[in-house]
Amino acid sequence: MKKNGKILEVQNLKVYFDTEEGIVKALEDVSFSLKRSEILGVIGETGSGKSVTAYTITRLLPQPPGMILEGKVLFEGEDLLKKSENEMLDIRGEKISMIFQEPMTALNPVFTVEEQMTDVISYHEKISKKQAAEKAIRALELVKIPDPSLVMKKYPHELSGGMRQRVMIALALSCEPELLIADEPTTALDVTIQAQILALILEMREKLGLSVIMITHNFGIVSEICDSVAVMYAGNIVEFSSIYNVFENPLHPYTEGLLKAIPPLDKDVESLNVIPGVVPNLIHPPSGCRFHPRCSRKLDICEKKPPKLVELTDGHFVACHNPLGGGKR
Amino acid sequence: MNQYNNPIIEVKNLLKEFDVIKGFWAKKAKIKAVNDVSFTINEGEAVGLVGESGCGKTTTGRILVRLMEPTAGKIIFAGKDISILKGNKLKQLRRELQMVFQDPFSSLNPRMTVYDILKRPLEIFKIAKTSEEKKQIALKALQDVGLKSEHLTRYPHEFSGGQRQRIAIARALILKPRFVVLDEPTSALDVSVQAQILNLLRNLRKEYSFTYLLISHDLSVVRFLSDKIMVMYMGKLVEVAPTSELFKEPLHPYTKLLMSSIPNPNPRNRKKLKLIEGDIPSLLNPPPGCFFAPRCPLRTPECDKTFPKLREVKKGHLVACFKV
Repeated sequence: MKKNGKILEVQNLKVYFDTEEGIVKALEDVSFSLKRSEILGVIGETGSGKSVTAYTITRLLPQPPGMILEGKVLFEGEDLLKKSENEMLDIRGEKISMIFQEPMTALNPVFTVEEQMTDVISYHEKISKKQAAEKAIRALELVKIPDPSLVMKKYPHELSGGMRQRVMIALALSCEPELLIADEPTTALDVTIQAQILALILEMREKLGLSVIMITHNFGIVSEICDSVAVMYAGNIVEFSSIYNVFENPLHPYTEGLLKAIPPLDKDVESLNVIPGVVPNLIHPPSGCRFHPRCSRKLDICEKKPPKLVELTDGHFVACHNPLGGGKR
Repeated sequence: MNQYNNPIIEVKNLLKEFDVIKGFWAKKAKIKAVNDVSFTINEGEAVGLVGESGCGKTTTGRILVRLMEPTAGKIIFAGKDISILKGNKLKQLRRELQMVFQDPFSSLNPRMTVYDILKRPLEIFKIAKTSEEKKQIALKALQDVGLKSEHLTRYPHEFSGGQRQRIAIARALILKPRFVVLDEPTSALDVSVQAQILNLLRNLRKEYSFTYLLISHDLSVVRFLSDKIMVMYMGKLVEVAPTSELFKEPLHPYTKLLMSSIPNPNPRNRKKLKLIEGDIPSLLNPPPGCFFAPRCPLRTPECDKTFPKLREVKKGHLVACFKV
């Protein structure tokens, strides 16, 4: 594998859900890529499809009701969507790991940290119980857990939220995966603890050369730790580029609107920018561009034809018929 | 804050204890969720109360509007001690003290239409005589929060989170209360919707001229909506200052930690995120001196003995720390 090549390429993903109310068109033509040792932020509001993307990549999407209709997920050149469930079992944990928003529900409440960690390690590696336990302790040390041998004997409910999330990260990293997918890992945590977890993810990238997909709704988190960012809206990627491009030179009206809707920390303002309206229902998404009913730059074509994600300037992708001129924010 | 000098709420040595059951043998213990808290809110002032989960901010808010009884301490509202009010007198008080809750999905009765929800307070306090009058008042309140007359006959489940929060705000303001507690009014909402509600609250403040306490864990929300900020940690107030001053010059080491932990949406201005050890201590087993001492970079032996008192270090700027 090339050192700086792409570790993951997601191409034209189309995922629908069959529900009682109708077909939910959750992902439509989603494409992005991730370089080795890169941290990619996937940002979007509720229902934008960011978690569905993560579950599709790891093949954890429940099918039914989920349906992967089109697309490829190329991990180190191989399409994960063509793998059998048994092959996926070997890949998950060893090559790709995932951490979740709520560590209390992701960890099993009836097993100790040691049982859960050694279980995972011995599934992937033929080593003795004792060696597995030693490996688990090393993983706990890596995520800066004080007294790891003590924590090994504890049940999840005996740990604080921040500690549980560290255990989750240790568990995810225990078999040295190449890609970590973090689905809102700090949303349930307080800001001071969140800062610790973000610092930890950065350190793991430095130490292990880990590639990370960080799913979040918080622009602050993206700007603190990510190298590139994909902005999602109603099942589409509307903008994808380096964080500097996206934050300083947003091309999509939705990205710009969101950035201006955040109350600033460093100055007083009279009022905040508002994106009128609400996120659409994905059973009956708007025709053409899904953002057009809320967009201030709408053209006639926007109602008719969904815009393709195209590279407008070097490395800056946008899906918009009438993108912003690129003036400084 | 010289423009506000007529106290509407005075809180004196407020204490709230909860009974908890500890350990396998179900030993009874008490935790102090709000621990000797005193502050004043002036008429017309917008005050923010920030802190992390479990610091006692919501408990404080609930006690202020008397949804909960304090264990000890006094709450003086408009010169009257309301900490011991009961029965009908307490009910009358609700006309002037209102609250907006965090979760708009559970704070509205799913079996009532929007009109029923808004009409209830008018009936309880016999505000309008005819049903036509009631309807007019409800309609006005609804329009003031940006909803339309056709929404009156709908049920809460037909609305999005942001719209539900608008209804909850209309219900709180329909009686024209003098004081409102806003408990995390936008934390359940997405960024684009949050901006709508924050702008709305700012406009309503001018129109309805009420005083409020805004409870939030999000410093950017508090900055946008408050004149003065109080920082709470483990049931204690550790710093109180005018908003602009707190952001310019935070003095308490906990406030500094809080400020430095907020991710900044400007990639050119990254923080040096550090792996600081240390968790928030348990309220069941608080440290002997200053509760922040175990995590504090300025800790001295004195800090492990007594909890520092909140004292004024500059005009209007109060800090509970020996080292400031």
